Parts: sequence; C-alpha cells; structure tokens
Amino acid sequence: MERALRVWVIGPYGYLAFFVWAVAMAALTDGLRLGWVLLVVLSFSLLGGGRTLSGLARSRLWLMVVALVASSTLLIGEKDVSFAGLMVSSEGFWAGLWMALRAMIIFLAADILVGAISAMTLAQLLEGWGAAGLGFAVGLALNLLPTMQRLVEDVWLALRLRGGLRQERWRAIRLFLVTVTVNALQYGDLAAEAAEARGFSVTRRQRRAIEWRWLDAVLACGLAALSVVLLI
Amino acid sequence: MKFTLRHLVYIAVFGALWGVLEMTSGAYLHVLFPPGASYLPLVGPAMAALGLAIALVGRRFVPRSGSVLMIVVVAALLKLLSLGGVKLGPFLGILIEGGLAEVVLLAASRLRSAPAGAEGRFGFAMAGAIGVASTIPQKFLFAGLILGKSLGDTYQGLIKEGSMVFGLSAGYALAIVIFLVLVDLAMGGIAGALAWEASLAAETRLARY
Repeated sequence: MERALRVWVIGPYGYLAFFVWAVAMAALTDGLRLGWVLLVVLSFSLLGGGRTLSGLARSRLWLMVVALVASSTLLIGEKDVSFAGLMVSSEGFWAGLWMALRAMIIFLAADILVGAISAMTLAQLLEGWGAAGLGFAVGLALNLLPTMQRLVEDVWLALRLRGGLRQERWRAIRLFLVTVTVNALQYGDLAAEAAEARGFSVTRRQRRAIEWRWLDAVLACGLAALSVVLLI
Repeated sequence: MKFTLRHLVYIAVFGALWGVLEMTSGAYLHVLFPPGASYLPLVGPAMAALGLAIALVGRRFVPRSGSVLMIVVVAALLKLLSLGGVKLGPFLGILIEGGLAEVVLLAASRLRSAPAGAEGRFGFAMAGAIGVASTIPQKFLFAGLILGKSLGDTYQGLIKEGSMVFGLSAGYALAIVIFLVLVDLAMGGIAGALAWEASLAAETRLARY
C-alpha cells in the first residue's frame, strides 16, 4: 500500500532533474521566455505545497531585484527615455529585468531542491554517479548555504554593532574570519555526527539505492519537451 | 587523496562559506556594477583573494593534499547559483585559481618536507599570490575561448583598468601591466598570510572549548 502511494510522489531524481532543467533554462533562454520558465518554476513549487514560496517574502530579495533593475537602467546602454525627470536606458531596464528573472528562477529552483531532498539523499544520488566524496560535500554544502549565510551575517552585524569596523580594521577582519571559522567548524562537527549517526560512511557505498519512480520519468520527459518548445 | 567523513563535512563547510561570499558580496557587486556597464577595477582579484583565504583556512582543518581543490570545486558549483547565473568563465576561473593554489601548496609541502596543512605562512602566502595573479592570464584565456573577444581588445581593457587604478596614462602600458601583476600578487599574498594567521587563531580558540 505504502509502495503504491509512493509512486504518486516525485522522487529525488525528479527534483534533481527539475533543478538541472531550471538552471539550464535560466542560462539558455532570454526575454519573455524567461517569464515562462519562472511561471513553470512557481507552478512546480505550488504543486509541492508552495513551502518554498515563502522565500519570496524576504525583503532583501526584492531589494536586490529592484536595485539590479534600477542600476542596469541607469548604467547600461544609451539613455533614451525620460522617467520622472531622469534620462534612463530602456535597453538597461530590460537587461536588468532579465537578469533579475534569471536570479529568481535559480533561487527558487535551489530552494525547491533543498526543501525536497536531504543532504544525505543528494549525496547518495551523486555517489551513484561515481563522485562519492564530492557528491556528499556538494550536497551538504547546498544544504548548509542558508545556515552559513546567517552565520556570516550575524558575525558581521555583531562586529559592526560593537564598533569593530571603525577602529583597527585589519584586526577586525582577522577577528571576523576567526569567529566565522570557529562557528562554522562547530556546526560542521554537528553535521558530521549527524551523518555518522545515520550510518553514512565514505569507505562503503550506501546500500539503499534510490529508485527511479515513474513520475520522475514522466516529469523528465515533460521537461525535455518543454525545453524544445522554449528553445526553438 | 583519502578524506574522512569529518574532512568531507569541513570541505562542505568551507565550500559553502566561499559560496556565500560569491552569493552575497559577489551579487551586490553584480548589482552595483552590472555586466555591460562600467566596472569596478580589481573586483575579480579581490573576490579571488577572499575566496582563496577561506579555502586556505580550510586546508589547515583538512590536512590532505587536494583539499583546497575539493573546496574550490564545491564553491564553483555553488557559484552557479549566484545572481550572475550560469556562467562558464567565473566557474572555470575559480577552478583555475584553486588548482594553482593547490599546486603551490603541494610544492611548498615537498620543499619543506612538511605534511599537508603545515606548509607555513610563506607557503600559504605563495599559494594565495599565484592563485590571485592567475586572474590576469584568465582574462586573455576566456576572452578568446568563451567571449569570442580578440586578445587586442582584452589587452586594451586591461590597460584601461590599470590606468584607472594607478592614475597613469595608457601610454605606460608595460608599467601598468607590471603594477597590476604586483597588486594581484600582493592581494593574494596578504590573503594567504591572513588565512594562515586566522587558522592558527581558530585552532587555538577551538582547543579551548
């Protein structure tokens, strides 16, 4: 019964295929086609419960998008349009908008992948392709990204609030690097203990193979067909 | 190149830290100086120096030959997720910088007859210097191979960047190139030395816990 239900769920291969497809489409398509790719990524996220869409609520992401479009409008291309009394470039506006769309596609696709597959599963997938140690490291690093980002920001903020950046900048940089390293290594120790507890070993192949589900194959075929439509 | 589980976790940690650097600082620089617009001189070498400093700190905690290369591969793969998107140039650039740093560390290890991770301040500084200095030949390599630009255009761009940095007329082309190489070597060397100092300090602090 459980097995029968599982075939209706997208498996790790399906999520990985979707991630690779989204990144490839962000790189290969341009203009309005990027909008279609973003729509597909948003729809896929909604089908999976929309948990990853909460990332879109981060004000920093939107600040980055607005800043990217604004700076491109002011800095790229010939200034040919007057906007609010300021001469701006339409070419720059569109270039900035497409860059922002690409960033959002990759950001959302990575969030979907990390939200759906654990570091261990991702490591197992890559291990199956003969990249045992590297697969584990990449899978774990992908999962660690949000934690490391928070860690770096917290240390930087703490240093700044204590006035560490105003005086003795060289010492402040060294202190920043040391604090980030120590905290990151402590976090790493916890991750290593968790992996050991789950029976992960670098010397022995993981016994439980990750199976292809038929929905993974359907998704991969659908994405391949969509690629043809978007690229031709 | 045998890594234990803890080594692999540390490789992931330092790779993720370099990835965060690329996805935050790199992304902000991308926003402030979008591709195709005017560029900030020495951004590439500065980002390379910071990234290599992280990878070199990682070398102390993963004392195996090939550890810097592994960290760099993880960081390069994460770089693909940054605001700049999928670009072959920066991806290969990170691999080249890390690869060269690894070769220098191997040579330093042999010369000092010291195990990996104990290459010393000079070994770390040299690894950083050579890694960062590779950003100049990379411009010529990628200009032809990936961007389809002529070597002459790339050379002119380099001289323009150098004349902005040093306030020299473009007529002093040779001096500008020499200064740029020296600045890159200095940035990388400082980053390497800083990485050595920071890793020793981190070891001391961790030993207290």
